[in-house]
Amino acid sequence: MASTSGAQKVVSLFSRARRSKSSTTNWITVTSRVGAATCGGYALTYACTAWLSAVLPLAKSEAVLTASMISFVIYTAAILWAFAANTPMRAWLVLLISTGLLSGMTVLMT
Amino acid sequence: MDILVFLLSYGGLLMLCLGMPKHYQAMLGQSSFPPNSFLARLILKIVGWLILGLSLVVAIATAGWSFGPVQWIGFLSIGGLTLIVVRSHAPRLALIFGVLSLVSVLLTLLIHEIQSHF
Amino acid sequence: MKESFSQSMDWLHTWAGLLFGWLLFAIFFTGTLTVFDQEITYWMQPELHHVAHTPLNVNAAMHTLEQLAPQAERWWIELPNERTPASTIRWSQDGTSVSRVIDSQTGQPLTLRNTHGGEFFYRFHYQLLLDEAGTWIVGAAAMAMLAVLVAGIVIHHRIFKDFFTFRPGASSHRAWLDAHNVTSVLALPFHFMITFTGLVIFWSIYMPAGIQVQYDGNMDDFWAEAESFIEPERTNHKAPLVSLRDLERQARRYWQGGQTRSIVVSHPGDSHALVHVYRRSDDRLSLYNDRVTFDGTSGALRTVWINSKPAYMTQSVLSGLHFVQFGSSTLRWLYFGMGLAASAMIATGLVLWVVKRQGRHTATNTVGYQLVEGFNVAAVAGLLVATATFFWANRLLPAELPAREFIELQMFFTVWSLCLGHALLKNFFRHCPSVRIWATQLAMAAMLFGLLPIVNAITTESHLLHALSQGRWEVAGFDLSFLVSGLGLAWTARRLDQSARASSRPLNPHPVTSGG
Repeated sequence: MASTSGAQKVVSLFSRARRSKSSTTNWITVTSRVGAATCGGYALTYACTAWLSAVLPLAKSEAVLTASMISFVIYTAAILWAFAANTPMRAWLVLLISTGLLSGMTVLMT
Repeated sequence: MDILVFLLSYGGLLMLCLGMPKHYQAMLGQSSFPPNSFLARLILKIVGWLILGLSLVVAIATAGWSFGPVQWIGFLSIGGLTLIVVRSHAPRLALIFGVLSLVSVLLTLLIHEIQSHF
Repeated sequence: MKESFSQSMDWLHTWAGLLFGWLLFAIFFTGTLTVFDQEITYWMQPELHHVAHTPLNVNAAMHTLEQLAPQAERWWIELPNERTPASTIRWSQDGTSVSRVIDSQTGQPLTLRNTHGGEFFYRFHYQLLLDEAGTWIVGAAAMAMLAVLVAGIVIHHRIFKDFFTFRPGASSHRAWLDAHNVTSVLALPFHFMITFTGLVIFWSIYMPAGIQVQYDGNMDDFWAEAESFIEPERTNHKAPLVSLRDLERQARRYWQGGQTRSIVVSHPGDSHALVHVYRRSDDRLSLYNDRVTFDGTSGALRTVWINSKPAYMTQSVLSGLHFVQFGSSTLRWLYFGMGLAASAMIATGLVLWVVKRQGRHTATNTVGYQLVEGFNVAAVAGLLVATATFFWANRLLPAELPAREFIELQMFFTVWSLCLGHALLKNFFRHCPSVRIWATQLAMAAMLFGLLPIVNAITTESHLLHALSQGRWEVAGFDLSFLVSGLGLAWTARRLDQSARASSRPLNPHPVTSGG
């Protein structure tokens, strides 16, 4: 009882932002977005760091360090993007497709 | 000499603060030159930034190229916090303290300059 | 579209800020104390207060290590500096590491009370005493912090217009929002810097992608290339170590006036022993400092490594900015002040979540809301009470008590849990308004901090007046800081108590009879 009201609070806040109707859909939306931000964002950042480490025209250790330092900026941007995207589906698609592309390019390079 | 950086940061931020009509009225009232005049606000802002620039110069002169900027940013934050706390409780005092700090910095720099010539 | 963007940022700022806020407050507050970690350790071992600052007799330290840890895999010798007269030796053997503070001249271990000292706050703020799992949790919190900071700038777009505005007398929501904005904006460069650099320090744990791709996941290969750091395997043939004092002197010649921070010996006593002499980094921003490596048995020079690669240098400067091992005590106080501002930003943010919902009775009567109220009090005020307890325990537990360093920690965490229990129970069963609980716990912290100078005066010989008369600011500074914290907390508690009384008056079941 108490936890549902807590849940409703989250949902009501969120539905104002999303203008959706069903509250179960909203729970899925929230979870999906959080998942996209954390897991999708990490996957993208990982792929991007790997790719940069491979392509940056620097000594190996320098390229790795540069890419790794930039990675935290990329991850932040990815998290914000996951929450800013119109729909969670879109966030997932964009994150996963770019992850796939970057991984593919990295594999081809190394 | 560290204290000079703090006093200058405070003074510079005070000028920037005075450049905003709301704060100008709180600290100086409706008197003196019209706070809403564009020129007055512009001058206050330029002077404020110049003082902040001077405080960076002093910071670098006292603490060196690597630590100076770090110290400057720290003093800016602390100076700003001091200004806000004093300004919200005693607006007039914030102004008086600002004037005093700028005068004392000028005097210190002047004395320093004179000493270095003799 | 624009409207919904700022709404989604608002959602992120509110909920990620709330969920990670409790943890982030603990990380930032203990991190702020870590600025003075060496000073705290020094204060927590009053036996050290008689020890004079003398340069370390390196060979005496070496002989002590040879006696105490002949089988160790690695030795560390840390030289004293301006912040502490303590010379420390450390060794690792079979996965555990032991350390002893020694007399700088004789090299004999000193009998000091066992305490984790400032090291506790240091370890807690980056791994919560949970080893690598803790590092990951703190890393997640730091990433959340970065996202929440950016989202916060998006939603509080008025912060730059309201730059100098703080209205403590305004409505409670307005005043808390002002306080939140002021502490955020003014130290914004610090908040970003300290969070980002904290992540960059642990890049190889959090983001090992580059290591995987370029070095097949082998970290040692990376260090070999980046720092020319190569350590041969143990041969298990015994061989005596050359004089470390001579190697240390030799190393200093490469540094143009730079001093030695520490000497590390790998495989001591083995024919493949290596001696690394590390340069102190307190005269520069970059942390990972220069190293001279010698063969441990012949004393031949192996490597002179000086940090010069651009990306590596950038990473060391970023780490250095986080660790503040450099500069004067002014700089450390500035970091301390900005760290407190960051902690205050997080605390006011947590309070805002509650205050914002206060008017809406549908929201405030839920268990979730009450839980948040309780956690807020315990996370902020409770941590202060626990910190003061930690210092009390240090002075009150007998110096010879076995395992006293664990009891200090136990007391810290017990009191912190008790504070959480107190906040939750009061809120759930006594329906006590949270302002009241805030006031109680802050008053408790104020009393504990305010009385610390007295406890210190009774239990040690270096009380405030004694320290002041001798001009020993490293000791007096603690008593003075405790007094200031006590007064500040007492003032806050009083103000909260007054506002609690003011707001509860209309609901007073016994109306004041007029005319008496």
